[in-house]
Amino acid sequence: MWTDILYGFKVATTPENLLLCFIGVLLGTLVGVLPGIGPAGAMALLLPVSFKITPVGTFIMLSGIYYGSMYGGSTTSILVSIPGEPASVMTCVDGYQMALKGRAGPALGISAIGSFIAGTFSVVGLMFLATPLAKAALKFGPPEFFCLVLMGLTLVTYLSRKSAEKALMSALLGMLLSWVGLDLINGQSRFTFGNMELNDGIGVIPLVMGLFGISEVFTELEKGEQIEVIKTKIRNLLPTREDWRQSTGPIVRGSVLGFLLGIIPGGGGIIANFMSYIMEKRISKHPETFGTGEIAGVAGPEAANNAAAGGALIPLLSLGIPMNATVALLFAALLIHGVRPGPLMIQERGDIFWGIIASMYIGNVMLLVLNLPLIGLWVKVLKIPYRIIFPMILLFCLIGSYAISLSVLDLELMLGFGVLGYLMRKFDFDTAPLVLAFLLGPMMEVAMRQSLLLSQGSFMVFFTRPIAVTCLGIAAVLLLLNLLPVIRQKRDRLATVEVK
Amino acid sequence: MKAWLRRTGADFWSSLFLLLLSGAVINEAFNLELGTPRNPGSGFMIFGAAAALGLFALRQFIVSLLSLAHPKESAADPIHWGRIVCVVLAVLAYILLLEPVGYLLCTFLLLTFLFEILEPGYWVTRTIGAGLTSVLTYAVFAKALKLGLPKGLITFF
Repeated sequence: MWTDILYGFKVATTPENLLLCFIGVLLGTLVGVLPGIGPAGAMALLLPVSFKITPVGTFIMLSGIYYGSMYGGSTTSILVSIPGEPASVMTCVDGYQMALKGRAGPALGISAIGSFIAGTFSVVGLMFLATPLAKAALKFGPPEFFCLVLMGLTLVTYLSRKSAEKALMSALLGMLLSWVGLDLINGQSRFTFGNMELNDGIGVIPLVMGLFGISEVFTELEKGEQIEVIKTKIRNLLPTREDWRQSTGPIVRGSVLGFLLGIIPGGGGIIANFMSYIMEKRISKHPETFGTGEIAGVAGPEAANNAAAGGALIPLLSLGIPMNATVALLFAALLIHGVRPGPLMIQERGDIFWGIIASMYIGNVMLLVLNLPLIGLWVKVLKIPYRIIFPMILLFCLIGSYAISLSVLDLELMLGFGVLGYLMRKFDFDTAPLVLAFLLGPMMEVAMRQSLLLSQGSFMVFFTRPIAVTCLGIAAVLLLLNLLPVIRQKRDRLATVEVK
Repeated sequence: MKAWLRRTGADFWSSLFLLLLSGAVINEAFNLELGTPRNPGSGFMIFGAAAALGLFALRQFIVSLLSLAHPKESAADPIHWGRIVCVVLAVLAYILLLEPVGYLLCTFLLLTFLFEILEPGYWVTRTIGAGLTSVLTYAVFAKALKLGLPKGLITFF
């Protein structure tokens, strides 16, 4: 393993990859600071540019945006009380209170340092867990793969923050969209309406740019608010000894909790941030201080969301299954380059896997350097009016979509998905299950049809293989939990409380 | 009519749309041929997914119909149509005119409109800004990165 890590550093420290890592974490921090555009939107904007660079470089840059945004989100949470990213929502509670008391500096400092420690921890975990999991996944056949994907999609819908039933419908819609184009098995045209361009299917870039970039712009256009940044001098970024004493435990606990939650489908930074806050408040000797500027309420959640970012890469890299929408874009980026993430990628493209691991170490160091001294710059960025930002986002989406295949159809599809994404938000449908199902739909269909061909039409093939039946059982239990009225009402009540 | 529309709520319309969509997709799945379990056809999985979607949509539609008798506040945020429709139409016009008119001119016109829409006024500054942005992005994306942005009417640049 140590030779693999050294090989990874050799790949990650080429001038091109170092520059791409820096660009990724810088953009990620910027995107995290700015409310109104998330890491998914930023990654979607950069997907067309990735055609010009190598697969390793693409993944390094895009994953830098992903974990970099977790750092940046805390800045807005602490200074403005608006989460820059959904994964920093609980940081607002005590972070802003600390800023009001003139302690914005220590809040920002402990947030950055805690994120660094947790990020490093999650990279180590990724390094040790991904390879054995990938070896186990090599034993999967089409029935196991189909059931695993089905379980993953069901888990994502179960953990949806909005209605689980609507999340299921969103996933089914995503699957149907993924089957537009030529049938991969017998070459028949499906839902192309005579349009030759649709034979290749709906492009992933117009879809994600529309659903994430364009629809976010439409949502923010409705509000049109200007952000009010707290007027306080930001001093003493380095925490005091007492701050360290109060934060060490939350950072350690947040790192472990976040990492484990990141592996779960649909988990990721949002749930990790939330659960860490609840845990710290529960075990604290003075829970009444939470909400009044308690540093543990910043350190724990910020560590958790960064650890979750690393954990979420494990199912992607070892099993080839993205478990949340942002990681799905990393998956799409590699597919565009003809690299299929999964157990075989670790064996056949060790340069990509170990290069990513090494770049995440380097990226975390870069982020610590970017976030501490450059706080003043990020505060200035927060003051850029949205009336200037949103036309630029729209323009980059249009350029990016057109540049793929110089097709006006892609632009029309992107606009259509932008309207769809906006309406889904208004009608309370989660867009993440749609994207995940869209990416996994073709593989799921091929796996299902191959399984039936192998078993000569018998569906018992899914019930006689241990891994497949286990995954099916979990999926069935989750579906039942989703649909049972009593449990659904309790979940909906909890979701309403969380949103408030 | 307005009162009835207010009472129906978001779930009524979304479930009705999905119900109709799943019906159309199921019809198309039969045209594509379902095949048999031994030899699944092109419409096999499509039928399964569309049928599941239709069942969920039907359940939600029935629940929303029953709730018409006891209307409660709609869970969805109201849609503020004005700005959104303007921007969608502007972007649609941009898409349709992009190839015949060209990137530079289309982008200049689009940005001038978009810079104005949130806060009208200062049109001189915004027009200059729109022009500079169009030229700069063309220089970066078309010239430096060699993306094939259409020239349209302006062929000399």
